[in-house]
Amino acid sequence: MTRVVSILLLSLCLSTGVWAQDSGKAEAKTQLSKVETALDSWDIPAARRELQTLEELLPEDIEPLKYFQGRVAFEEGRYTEAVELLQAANIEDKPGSYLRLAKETRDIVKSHARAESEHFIFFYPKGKDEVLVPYALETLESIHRALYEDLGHKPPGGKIRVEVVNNARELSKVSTLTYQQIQTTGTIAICKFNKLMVTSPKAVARGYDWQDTLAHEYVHLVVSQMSRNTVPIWLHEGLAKFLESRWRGKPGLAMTPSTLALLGRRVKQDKLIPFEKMHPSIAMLPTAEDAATAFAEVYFAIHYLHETLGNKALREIILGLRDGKQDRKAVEAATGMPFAQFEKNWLAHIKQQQFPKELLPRDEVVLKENAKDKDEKKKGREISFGDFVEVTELPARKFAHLGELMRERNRIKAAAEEYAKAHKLVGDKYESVSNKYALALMELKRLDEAEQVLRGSLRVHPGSPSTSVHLGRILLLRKDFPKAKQAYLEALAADPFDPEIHVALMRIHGALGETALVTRTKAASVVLTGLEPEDVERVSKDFLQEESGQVKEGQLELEGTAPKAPAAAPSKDGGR
Amino acid sequence: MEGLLTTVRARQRRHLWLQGVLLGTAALLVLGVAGGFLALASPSLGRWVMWLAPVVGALVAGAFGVWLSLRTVGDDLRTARLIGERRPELSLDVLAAVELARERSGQPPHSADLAEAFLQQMDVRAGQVDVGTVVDRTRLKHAGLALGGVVLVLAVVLGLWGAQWRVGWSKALESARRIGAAETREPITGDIELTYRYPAYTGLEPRTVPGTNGEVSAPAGTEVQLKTRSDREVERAELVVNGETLPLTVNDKRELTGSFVAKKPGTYHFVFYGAGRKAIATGPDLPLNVEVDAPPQVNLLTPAAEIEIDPGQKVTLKYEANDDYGLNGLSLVFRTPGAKEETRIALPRADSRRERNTFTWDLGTLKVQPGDRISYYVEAKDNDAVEGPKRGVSRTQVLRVYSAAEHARQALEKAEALWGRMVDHLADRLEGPDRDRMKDPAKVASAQTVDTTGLALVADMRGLAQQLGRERDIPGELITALANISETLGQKVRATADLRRVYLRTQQRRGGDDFGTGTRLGALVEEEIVELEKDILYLESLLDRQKLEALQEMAKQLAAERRELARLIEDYKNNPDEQTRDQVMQQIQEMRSRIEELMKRMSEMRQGIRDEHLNAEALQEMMKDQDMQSALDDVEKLMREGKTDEALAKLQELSMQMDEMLNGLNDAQDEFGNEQYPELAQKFGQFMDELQKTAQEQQRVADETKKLRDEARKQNKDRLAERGKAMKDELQRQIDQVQKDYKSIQPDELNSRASRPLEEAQAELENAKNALKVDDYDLAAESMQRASEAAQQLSMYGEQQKALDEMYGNPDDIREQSARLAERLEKDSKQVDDANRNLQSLFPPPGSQMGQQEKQQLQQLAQQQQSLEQKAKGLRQQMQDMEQMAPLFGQEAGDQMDEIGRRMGEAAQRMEGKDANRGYGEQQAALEGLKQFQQQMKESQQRGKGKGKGLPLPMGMGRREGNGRDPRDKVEIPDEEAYQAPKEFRKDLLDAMKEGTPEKYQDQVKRYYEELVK
Repeated sequence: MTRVVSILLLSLCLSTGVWAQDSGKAEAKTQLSKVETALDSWDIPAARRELQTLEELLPEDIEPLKYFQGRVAFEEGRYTEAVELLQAANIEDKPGSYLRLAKETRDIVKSHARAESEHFIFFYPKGKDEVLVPYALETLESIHRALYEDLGHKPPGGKIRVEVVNNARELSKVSTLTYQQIQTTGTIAICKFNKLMVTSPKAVARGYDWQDTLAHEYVHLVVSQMSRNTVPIWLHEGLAKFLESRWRGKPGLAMTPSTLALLGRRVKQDKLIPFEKMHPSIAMLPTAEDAATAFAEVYFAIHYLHETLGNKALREIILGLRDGKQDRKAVEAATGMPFAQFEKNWLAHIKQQQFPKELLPRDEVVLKENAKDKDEKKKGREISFGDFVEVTELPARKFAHLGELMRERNRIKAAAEEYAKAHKLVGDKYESVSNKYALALMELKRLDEAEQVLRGSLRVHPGSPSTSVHLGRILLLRKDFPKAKQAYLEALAADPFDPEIHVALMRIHGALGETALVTRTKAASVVLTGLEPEDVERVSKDFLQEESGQVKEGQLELEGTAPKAPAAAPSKDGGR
Repeated sequence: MEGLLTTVRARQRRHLWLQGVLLGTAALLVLGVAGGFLALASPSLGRWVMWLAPVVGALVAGAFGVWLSLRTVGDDLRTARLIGERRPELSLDVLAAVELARERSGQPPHSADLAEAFLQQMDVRAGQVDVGTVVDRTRLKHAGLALGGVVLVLAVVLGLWGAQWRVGWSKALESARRIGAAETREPITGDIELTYRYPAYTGLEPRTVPGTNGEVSAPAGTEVQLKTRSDREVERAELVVNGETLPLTVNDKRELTGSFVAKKPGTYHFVFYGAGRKAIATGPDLPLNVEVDAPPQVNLLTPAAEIEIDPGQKVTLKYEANDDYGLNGLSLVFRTPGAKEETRIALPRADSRRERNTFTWDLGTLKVQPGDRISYYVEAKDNDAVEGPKRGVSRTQVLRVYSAAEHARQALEKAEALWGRMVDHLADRLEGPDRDRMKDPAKVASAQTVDTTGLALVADMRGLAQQLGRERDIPGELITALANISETLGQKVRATADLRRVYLRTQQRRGGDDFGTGTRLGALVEEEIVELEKDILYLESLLDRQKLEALQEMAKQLAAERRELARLIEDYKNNPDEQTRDQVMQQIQEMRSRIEELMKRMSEMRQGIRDEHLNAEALQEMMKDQDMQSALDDVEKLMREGKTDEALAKLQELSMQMDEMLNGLNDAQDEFGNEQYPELAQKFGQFMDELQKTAQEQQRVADETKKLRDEARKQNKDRLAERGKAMKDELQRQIDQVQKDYKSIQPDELNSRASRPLEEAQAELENAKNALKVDDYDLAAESMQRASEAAQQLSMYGEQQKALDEMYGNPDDIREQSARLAERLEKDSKQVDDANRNLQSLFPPPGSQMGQQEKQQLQQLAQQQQSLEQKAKGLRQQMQDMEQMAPLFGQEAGDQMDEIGRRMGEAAQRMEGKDANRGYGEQQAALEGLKQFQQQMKESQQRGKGKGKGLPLPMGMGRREGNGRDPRDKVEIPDEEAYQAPKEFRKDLLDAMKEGTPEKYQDQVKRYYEELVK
C-alpha cells in the first residue's frame, strides 16, 4: 500500500504541474501525509478532518485526493463511493488493492441486513444469521462498557461496523488475507479497516465461540485505536485473549484447558519460548505448537500484569506505546522494574499455574468445507464411528466403537457399559466419549451420572456446545430453569444455529417469566425451524415435558435443523 | 273463486298421485318379497306373484291418481263439494256459487244482480281461503308411513330370511327360463353315418363311423361327410352348420348325403323342404366338436432351473417335446444381458410326434461377463397346416455366469449377518442378569435363552466356515476367522451355559445358597464378554478389509470396462462405418448400465465400512469427481459428433482418475488395520521373526545331531548286520504270527476306539517286516517300538472290553468271547514286545559307540535343544498373548505349537541319554512341524496381499472341508477296464519325485527305491 501512496504522491507532483508553482504544494503534501498517518493510526475522524482540509487545497479531480477520499470512504463503510473514488484515482484492480477490496466488500455486503445498537452497526447475511443479532449486539455493547471501564477508551467517530461474512472465502475477499492463509491459520475473524469482520458460525463444522471472538476482535480495535496502532502483536494478542471474556464477566476466563495443558507440558520440558524469539512476530515461530505456546505465554504476561498491578498497568503500557516508547520500555515504565526482571517474574508466574496432568487434544476450528462430515441433518440418533478418531488410546477407542455398535442396535444399556469402559480409560479427555456416554446414561434415565460425566467434560472442554446442550436437557428435565438457561446460553455462544437451543430457551424464559426474551427466542426458533410461530410455541411447550422417552438424543427433529456435532473451542484470528 | 277451485284440484290430484305411488310401491315390495318366498314352495306361483307385483303397484298408483282423483275433484262441483266439506264456514256457498255461475249463462230464476253480488262476495271469500286447509295432507303422511313401515318390516324379514328368499327368487327365474326353452325339435333323420377326412398334416387316415347320433368330433380342417335318411319324403334338404346353410343331396326322396368342413365348434341341424319354399321340418341341433390342435409340449429335463456356469463352459441340455400331430422344428432360444433380441439355435430337426434328445451347448462363443444371467428355453413348432404352426415352449431357465466377486460378496453378507448376531449376543450378555452382584435366580434362569442363541450362533458360524470352505474364491482368512471364533467363543458360551445349570441346580437344592457358583458364573460371563468384544472388533476389521478388497475389485472391473470401450472406439476409428458406430453406441449403453451397477454396489459397500479411519467421504468425493456417467455422456456425445480422438482423450482422462482411485484404495488396503491393531501387528511381526529364527536354529542343531548319529551308525553297521541275521527269521516269524492274529479280529469284537491302535500296529508290523527284508535294523527297530506301543494299547482295550462285559452282566457267550479276545491280545502284545526287545538288544546302549568328544558334543546339542524347547514354549505364549487381542490362531494351531515343543523336549531328553538316533528323529518331527506352521502362516498372510503392514490375518490350518478340489469339477468314474494306473497319475508321481522328499522321510524313501531297483 505504501508503494501505491508513493506513486500517488509522485503523480500529485506531475499532475499539478501548473498548480505546483503555487505555494500550497508543500502544504498539500504535508496534509496528504497527515491523512495517511491518521488512517494508519486507526484514527478515522482525524483522517476525515485532515482530508477536508486537503480538499480545500487541491482541485477535486486530482488522483491522490480521490485515493484518500476513497480510503476514508472505505474505512467508513461507504463502499460504493469508495469504489468510484478509487477508480477515479486510477487504482489498479488487482488482488490486495484497495479498489479490489472495496469492490468485493461492496458486493458481499450489499445484500446484507443491518441492525444497530447504541455503539455498533451489525451487518449480516439475510437468513438464519438473523438469530445472531440480539446476542451479538448485547455482547458488543457489554465489551464496549467493560473496556471503557478497564482501559478508559471508547472508539470515537460514530458506530463501529461489524460485518458477518458467510464463509472463509468471503472473509478472504473482505480482508487482506488469502484463502490459503485463512485455511492454514484457522482465522475466523479479523479486526481491520476500523471494523470487525467475522465468519458466520454456520461456516464452521463444530461451531466456535463466536461471542468471545466478537469481544476479542473488539479488544483489538480498542487497543489499536488507543495506541494509534503501535502495540506489537505479542502484546496485542495477550491483551485480546485476556480481556475477551470481559463481556461475560471477569477477564482471563477464556484460557482453554488444552492450551493450558500444552503450556504445562512445555513448562515441564523447560521449552518455553523466550521473549526474544517472539520478535518480530509470533507467527514466524517454526511450529504451530511453538506459536500456540507463545500465545499462551503472552496471555500469562497480561495475566501477571493484571494480577499484580491491575488495569492501570495495561493502560499505561498501551499509552506508553502510543507515546512512542518501545514495548520493553513501556512495560518497564508501567511495572517499575527492568524488563529482565519482569520476564523472570512472568515466567515464574507461568510456572505457578495449575496445569492439567495430561496433554489434551488441541481444539481446532474446522471449516465446513474441510469437515469430514458434511451431513446437515445428522442431529438425530446419529451413529458416528468417525467421532472416535481423535481417541489415541486404542483400547478406549475400541470400547467406544463397541458402544456405538450397541447404540446402532438400540441396545442402550449395553452401549452405556461399553462407553463406561472407554470413559474409565480416558476420563474427560475426549468430548466424543463423554457425550456418547452421557447420552446413553440419559436414555437410561441415569441423569445424575450423566450430569457428572458432562460436567467433567466441560471442565476440560469448556464451551462445547453439544456438551452444554446435553447438560441443558438434564437440567431442564429437572426443571432447574436458571441452570438450564446458563447451559443453553453457553451452547449458544458456540453453536447459535441449533434450533434446540432456542426452543429450549424459549421454554426456560417462559418459565422464568422473561417475556421479552421469549419473543426473541421464538423469532429465532421460527427462523431456524421453518415452523409457524404457533407451532414453535407448541413444540417449545412440549419440549422435554413428558417423563418418559424424553431424554433421547434427537428428540427435536425439525425441518431444517442445524447439524449437531461436538464442539471445538476457539482459535481466533491470525492477527488483527 | 275460479282460482281456488283450480288450485285445490291440482293439489288434490298431486296428493292422490303421490299417495298412489307410495302405496303402489309398498304393494310392489310386499308382493315381490312374498313371491320370492312362495317360489320356494311353488316356483311358478311365486313367479306369477312376482310378475304381478309391478302390475299391482301400477294399479294402486293409478287408482289413486286417476279414479279417486276423478271422484273427488273430477269437476268444479265435486271440487266445490270438497271445499265445502273441508271448510265448514264456506259450507255449501262454494257449491252454490259454482251452480250460480253455470246458470248465469242461461235464464237464471233469480236476480242477476244478487247473484253477481253473491259471486263477487264469494270471490273475496275464496281469496282468503288457504288451500292447504282444504287439501288434507294427513292421508299422504299415512301413505308415506305405511311405505316406511313396509320397507322396515321387509328389511327385517330379508335380514332374517334373505338367503331363502334369494333361493326362491332363483327358482322363480329358473322356471321362467325353462318355459323359454321349452320349444323342442324332434329328430327328423335316422342314424347318421359320418366319414372323416382329416387334414393331411395330421397324418390320419380317413375314418367312417356308421350309426351315430350325428355328433361330430374332428380336428379343424377335417372334411365331414354325412349320410342319413329322412323320416319323411322331402324335395329338398339343407344342412345348417353354425348358421351357414349347405345343400344336401336327396336321393329317392329320403336318402340324404352331404359334407362340410369342420372349422369352428358349434352345432348343425337338418332342414327339410317340400315343394314350397317353407321348411317343413327342422331337425334338432347336433353337436359339432372341433378338436383343437394342441401346441407342442416341451420340457427341459436337465439342467436345473438355474445353474452357475463358468464362461466358456459347455452345458448339456436334455429335453423332450411332443405334439398331438407332429413336430416341425425345435430350437434353443436364449437371450444374453443387454441383447435386444433373442438368439435361436436350431436343435436336431424332428418330424415325429415325440422327440427326446440332448444338446451340448457351447457357451464359449457368447460374450458374457461374470455375474451375467442368460435366460433360455426350448421352443417347438408343430406342423399345423390349417391354422398355421403352433408354438410350444419349455419353462425359461437361467444360466448364471460364475462371478468370483459375487460369491465373495455373498460370503461377506453371510459373515456380516453372523457378526451382527455376535453384536446382539454381546448386548444380551452385557444387559443380562448374570453379572449382578445380587442375583435373581429367576432372571438367571431366563438368560438360558441367551445361552441357546449363543450356541446356535457358534454352530452357525462353524457351519458357515465349513460351507464357505467348500466354495472357491472365498477369502480364506474369513473362513479361518469364523472357524477360530466359533471354536474359542463356543468354549466360552458352553462354559457359561454349563455353569448356569450348576448354579440353578445348586440354588434349587441348597435353598438359596449358591456356594459361590453365582460369582463364578459372573466371572465366566465376563470372560465371554471379553472374548466377544475381541472377536467382534477383529471380525469387523476383517469384514471391512474384505469390503475394501471388493471395492478394489470393482474399481479394477470399471477400469477393464473402460479399456474395452477404448478398444471399440479405436476399432471405429480404424473402420469408421455406420455399423461399427452403432456397435460402439450400443456398447456405451451396455457399459453405462454396467458401470452404474458397479458404482451402486461400490457405494453400498463403502457405506458398510465402519472403520473410522477409512476416509469414506474422500472416497465418495473421488467417485463423485470422476462422475463416470457424465464422462460417458461426453464420450457418447463426442462419438456422435464423430470426434473419436477427443472421445479417446476423454477416456484417457477418465483412466487417469480411475488409476488414482485404485491407488488410493490400494494404499488404504495396505495400511488397513495398522490403526486398530498396531500392537498386534508389531507382536505378529516379532512372532514371525522368532518363528523363523527357531526353525533355523532347529535345523542347525538337527544337522549337527545327524552328523553324530551317522558317525555312530557307521561304526555299528557291520556288527548290527551280523547279529541281526541270526535272529531275522525268528523275528519275521513272530511278526507274521501276530499279523495273522490281528487280521482275524472282527471289527465288531472291539469298541471303535480300538480300531486306530489296531491299524497302527498292523501298519508298523508291516513296516518292520519290510525293513527286516532289506536288513535295515534301525528302521525295523523304530517300527517295532511303535508297533509294541500300539499292541499294548490294543491289549488294554481288550481288557477293558472284558471288564465292561462282566460289569454289565452281558450274556455268557459274549463274556467268553471278550475274555478270549483279551487273552489273545495280551499274548500278541507280549509277543510283539519280545520281538521288540530282541531287536532293541541288537543295538548297543545309546552312546556306547561314541567317543568322549562326541558325547560332549551331543551333550551341548542337548542343551541347545532344550533352549529350543523353551523357545517353542515362548512362541506358544506369544500366540496366547495375541489371541487375547484377536482370534488369529485356533485350538489346532495351538496344539500344533505344543506338539512342536513336545517333540523338541523329547529330542533333548533322548540326546541327554546319548541316543542321537532317536533324538534326531524327534528333531526332524519338530522341524517338520515348524516348517508346516511357517508355511501356513505365510499362506495366511499372503492372502492379504499386504506388504507386511496392516491387519494380521488369521492362520489357516488347511481345515477346509472336502478334498480341496473345485466342487464343480467333474468326478470321472472309472470303468471296469481302468485297472491300470492312469497316465496322469503316473505323471503326478514322477513330478512328485522331482520335487524331492520331505527330510523326515528321505531315508525311508531312499531305501524304498533301492529295494525297487534290486
